[in-house]
Amino acid sequence: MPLTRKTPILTVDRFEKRYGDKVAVRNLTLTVEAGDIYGFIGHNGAGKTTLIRSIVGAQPFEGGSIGVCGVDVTADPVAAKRQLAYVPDNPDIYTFMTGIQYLTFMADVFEVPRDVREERITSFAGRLGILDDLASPIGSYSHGMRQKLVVIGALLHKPKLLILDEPFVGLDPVASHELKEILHEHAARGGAVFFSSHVLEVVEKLCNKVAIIRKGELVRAGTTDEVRGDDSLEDVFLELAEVDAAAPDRASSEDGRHA
Amino acid sequence: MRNFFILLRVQLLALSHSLKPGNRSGGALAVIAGIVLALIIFLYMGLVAIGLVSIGLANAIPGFAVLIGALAGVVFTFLKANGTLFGLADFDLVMALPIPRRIVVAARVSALYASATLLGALLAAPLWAVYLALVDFSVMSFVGMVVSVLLAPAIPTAIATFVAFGVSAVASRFRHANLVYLIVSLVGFSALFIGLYGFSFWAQAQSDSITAAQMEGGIAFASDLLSRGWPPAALMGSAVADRSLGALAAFVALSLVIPGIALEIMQRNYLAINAALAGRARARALTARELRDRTGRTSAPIAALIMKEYRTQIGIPSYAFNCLFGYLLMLIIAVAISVVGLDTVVTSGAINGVDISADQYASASGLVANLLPWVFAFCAITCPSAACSVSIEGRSAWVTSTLPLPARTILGAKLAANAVPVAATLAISAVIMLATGQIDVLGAINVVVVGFGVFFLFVTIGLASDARKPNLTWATPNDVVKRGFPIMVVVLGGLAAVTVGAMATFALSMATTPLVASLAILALGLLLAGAGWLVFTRACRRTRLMF
Repeated sequence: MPLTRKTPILTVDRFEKRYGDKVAVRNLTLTVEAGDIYGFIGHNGAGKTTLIRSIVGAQPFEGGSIGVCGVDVTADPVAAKRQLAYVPDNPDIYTFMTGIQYLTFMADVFEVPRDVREERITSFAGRLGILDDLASPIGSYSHGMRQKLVVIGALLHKPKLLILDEPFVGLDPVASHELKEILHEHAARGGAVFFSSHVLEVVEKLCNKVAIIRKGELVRAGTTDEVRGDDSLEDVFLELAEVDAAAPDRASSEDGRHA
Repeated sequence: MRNFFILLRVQLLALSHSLKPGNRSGGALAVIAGIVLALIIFLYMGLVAIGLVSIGLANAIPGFAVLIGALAGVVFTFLKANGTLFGLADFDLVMALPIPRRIVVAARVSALYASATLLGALLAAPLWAVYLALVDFSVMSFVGMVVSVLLAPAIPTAIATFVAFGVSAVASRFRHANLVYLIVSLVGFSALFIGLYGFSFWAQAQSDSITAAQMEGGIAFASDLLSRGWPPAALMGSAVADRSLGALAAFVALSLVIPGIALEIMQRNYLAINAALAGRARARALTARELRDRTGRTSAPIAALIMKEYRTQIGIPSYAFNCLFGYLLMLIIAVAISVVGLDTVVTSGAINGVDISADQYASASGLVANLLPWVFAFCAITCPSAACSVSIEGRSAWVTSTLPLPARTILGAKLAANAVPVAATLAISAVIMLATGQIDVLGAINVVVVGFGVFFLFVTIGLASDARKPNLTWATPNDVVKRGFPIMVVVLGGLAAVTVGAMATFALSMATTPLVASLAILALGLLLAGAGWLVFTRACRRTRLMF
């Protein structure tokens, strides 16, 4: 399906994921369009990483569909993966490689043209402050340095959609600021960003759209202004948490039906 | 003491967890394989002891048992100290506990010691059983057995902790430490193998002409070597054979005092030792030109994946040790056969001193040449890196599963990274033997085709199994490299195929002619390789690489 101006970058339609009898995420629908920085928030175990891993093709799912730039991730996963890049919550990467080996590996696999590789690697590594460490083994990197390397590897092929799971964890303030700038630039160029975070202040300032997931169900979604109304995002989230405390556990019910 | 036992329990749980198989089917297979292996070891050590008795070296058995226990202590501690005693993931957590450092170190050393003792007991028990049954069933022998089994690994465990620390400390200073470590170890193992092979060949050559006096001298020399090589072994030998209580007391005292001193040194320097290991080897920054050079080289995606597979093998030492030694073994055997000559194997026209005719010699020579491909097939199945190559990705598997590449490319790269060097090594080995006139052209083709066929079928079965149910949550690479189900499939299945194939070849060579048998095994090799390709293509269709 050719990408037109109106084709959303990411469409999730009635998504459902089960682990055995347990329903982890049910009937979740959302759309991310070009230029969006979309924040995805929820408590621990709400289903954020479950959805993200299904979008990037790291995990199968049972119901609904996911499309990236109009490509169904189940029907044509390779074409869908070409359009996106993923930064997981834990930057577990090949510790036996050096930083530059990892980046050239990603560039080779995503077939990044030779003439732009040096410029992109130098630019991103310089901005995130690890240019001087690229010759060292990844095994000697700190958590934050690995996180930066994974982010650079994700940006090299200029993906349409950036998927990030808790991207700011472990980053120093300077790198965190640079990453926000990079995400803004990416969205401004017509790309889209979809990321999960527990840092509500960051989501509130950075994102133009927000979705809140609770126990596997989407409870709020829309522009950041719509979702928070007159309150802060934290107030809205805490208010939902109180409702949550009073409500029965629906997502984990054995039969998977709505309570 | 309460804290000591709490910490010791945690350590023993961690060690036992590292030996636990990943899934139920793998677990059942691992238990069976473990029992079979233990029985083989038990039987082998028992036969060794009987052999020692039969050549008049019965009194060397107690010392030999101590030596075996000591070796078990050295090997186990050397392999496990890094990660158990130092370089540990939970160092900060443990050191923050309100428990004296001496207790922490003692608990960790004791866990290593207890495990080494169990391993040593498995090896030494058959020796002692034979000694008690055939040589001397006395109280002193029984006491010697108990003391030896319990204390033999104590001194070596203490020494090995320092050696393991030294090696780890040196390795952590090199950027390519794993590669250096790997090369040195492979060279060491090769030297050991060549030494043993050379000695065995020399001993066989000498056996016909050896006199009784020489035999007596040899026995005395062997006993002397044992005593000089490991003095505690001599003490135990003297304690049991000469009924020397003094020697027994000296053995016990040494086995307690030396580890005690080692423990004290270790605990006093524990913080400094771990700080030394935490120092990371960092490279200098790349110059602009170096960066341009490195980013200017491009590879096709499959070539990049194959290179990544090789880097994985070199980057994980236990993966390399388990999967690379077979390559070296093939070359060593090819060179050894070229130097010694297949004719020597057929004993140059005489078997056990009985002359054979020219026809019989030709037949025997053809039979040995036909069995040779199975020897290389055996070596080839000891290089099964592709079989666990999905699981070995561990927590980094998200990288592969999110790449925009089909399963065929990803699995193909894993298979190619293994199959190409195996085929190349088989070909080089065949050419060496062909060039030196040890085998003919058909024999050389058979070495490559049969060796590769057996390898290819079983490694693709292993890879398919690994891609279907990978174990990505392993705690140490050994969980998948040594105890993984796919590796067991390759090794046990391949071993069965080699055994059956060699027996069939033998029967066919005897029933028909060596040429007919040669052609038959050539066809079989091609069939196995074809079957392997079918397994691989099926695995590619079924695998979705969604871990």
